[in-house]
Amino acid sequence: MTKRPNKVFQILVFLVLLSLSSFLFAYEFGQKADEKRREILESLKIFLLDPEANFSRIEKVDDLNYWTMIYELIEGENYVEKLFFGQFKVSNIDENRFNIICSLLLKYSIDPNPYYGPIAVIVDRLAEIMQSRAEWFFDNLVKQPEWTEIIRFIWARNRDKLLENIDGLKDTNRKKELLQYLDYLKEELNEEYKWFELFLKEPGKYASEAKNIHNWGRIIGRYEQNHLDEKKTLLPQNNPILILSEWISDNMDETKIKVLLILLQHLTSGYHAEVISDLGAKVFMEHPQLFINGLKDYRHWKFLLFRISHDVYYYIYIKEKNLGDIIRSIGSGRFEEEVKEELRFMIGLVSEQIGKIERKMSY
Amino acid sequence: MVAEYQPQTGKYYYYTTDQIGSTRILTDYAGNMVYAAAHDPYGGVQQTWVNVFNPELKFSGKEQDTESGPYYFGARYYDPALYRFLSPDPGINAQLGMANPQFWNLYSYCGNNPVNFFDKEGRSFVIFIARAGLLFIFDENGNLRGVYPASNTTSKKYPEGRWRYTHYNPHEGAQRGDPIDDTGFFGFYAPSDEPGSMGIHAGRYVWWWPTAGCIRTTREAMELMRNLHESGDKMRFLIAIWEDMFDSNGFFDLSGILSKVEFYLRGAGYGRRYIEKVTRQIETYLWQLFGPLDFMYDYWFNSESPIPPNAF
Repeated sequence: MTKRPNKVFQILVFLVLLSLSSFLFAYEFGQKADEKRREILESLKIFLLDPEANFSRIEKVDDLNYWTMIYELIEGENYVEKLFFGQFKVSNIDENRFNIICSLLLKYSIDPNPYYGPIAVIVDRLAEIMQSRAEWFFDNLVKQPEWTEIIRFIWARNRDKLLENIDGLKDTNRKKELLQYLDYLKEELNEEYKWFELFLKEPGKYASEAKNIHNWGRIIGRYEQNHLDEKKTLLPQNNPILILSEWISDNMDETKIKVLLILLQHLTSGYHAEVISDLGAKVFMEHPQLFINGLKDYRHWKFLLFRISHDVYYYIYIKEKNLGDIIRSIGSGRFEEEVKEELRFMIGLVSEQIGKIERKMSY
Repeated sequence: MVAEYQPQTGKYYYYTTDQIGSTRILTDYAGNMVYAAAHDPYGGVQQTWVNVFNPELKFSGKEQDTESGPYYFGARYYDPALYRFLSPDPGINAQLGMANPQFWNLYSYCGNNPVNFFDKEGRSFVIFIARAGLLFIFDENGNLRGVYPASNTTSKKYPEGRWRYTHYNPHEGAQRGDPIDDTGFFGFYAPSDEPGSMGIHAGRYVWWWPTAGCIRTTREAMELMRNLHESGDKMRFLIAIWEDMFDSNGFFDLSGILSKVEFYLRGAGYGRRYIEKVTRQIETYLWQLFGPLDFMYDYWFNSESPIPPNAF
């Protein structure tokens, strides 16, 4: 009679094999991710040298916004500014270069904030081209399949110049078409503002419509200015960001995660951005799996994770939270592993950046 | 001001004001009423009951130019007969002007709504000299009230220029280490910004922690700004200067920085003497801070830091 293997031993072997395979899996995963990073950052560098010849390389890059931020953290320079001041001067824009600029704008529009970052640089250059040759500009603009999206950004950032140039167009039909679209945008902004007022009163009731809102920054800014007291003070009970933060933090659920991710995507500069990214980091650390489940809906999830990376690092650095604990509390599916790998990479990068600033300031 | 001293007679006179600081009643040392009047919302005198003494301060607590009749509101003169200022609002830029039709007229008083708003001095202002990592806070009389470390360590830098104050957000309930702590947030317009999202705040324990475009400073700086705001000396604008600290020869470019300050203050409608007063205080501070040129030269080429070791 053969002796049956010890059950405990069997379980032990199974566990060793399991941890070994997950270690190898994570290692391989990390290796592949590193390789991909090197490849994409190289594409960005090559594109800088000759955008026309290398546009196909950039076209393939998914989540260009995220990669541009990574490039900027590593290289310490503003990528889009360098690209536009070096390669896309107003005087050398022909039809081909114009098409590239429009495609770039749409690729970067995952961060739809017209005030800062890549969008701002590109839209300002488009406005300069429009100023220098309006008829040519609009002829080529309306050939773009998504020209209305492009106009939306110019309207948000350079409204006066846009109106002035449309007004000067000789083609009356085109002029009419463009002005009608601007009226639509104006009405959309007003409607979104009305919705926002209702949303603030009853966030749970109106949350499902949050994904359709385009002008987050503008409606929040307008709301704040409309609710200042006579001393120009925004009292806490009128502060929309504090109202929303409180609502999101209280009894977290999937709907609230969805709203939080929308705000993280849209509010990327100034006061609003800082409060929301801090809230995002806190929610991520308290409810990691819920946060990651929300990220799964986004093709450009890395950009959203990047938005909270400085704040997550802050809690690790100052509040001595343990990154290992956070990572261990995340599940082990394929997407979860990707998130963990990305998180390790981002935190490492932010740590280097903060270290550099700290050394500089504490000299 | 609560009392006025007349050196000719050696007597004190005591002010009683209305809700916007206009003088309603003036009494002498013995409690006798020597002046009693009421102003309309635009500064005209509605009625005068007693007028045995001509007080120095009348409408909105401002000094009246007895020759021509206008009131001195710090940055500019206001003429109650015309219901308008005599020079354009130094704090309104084109973007803000377009956003609110009441600002299309840069000479209007209180946005043409003097019943609901009043125009106090509005002369406090802050100057951020980015390369030096310093925030200079001035009160309504152009006195330097404090200098504090401040940073804009982000790729989204606060743009250079003079930016009109939008609002104060006290951010009550925040904790000390939060990105914007309980000392609040002062918002200023920027050309590429939704109204008032960009501004100055403390938070995150260290003043150099990266922001999303705002200027981060210390709690002490925020407390001073808040005290000025709460005492009614409302903030007017922020001047952000990104001038290099060093000229092409590597020498400390103090004159470059000061000429930028002068440029932006002149654009805000300030006079020569006022500007001289402000720039002299900045010059003295920077000179004391950075010391002789040879130190600066050595310092710059031997470290990466924009701030000298003994600065704070």
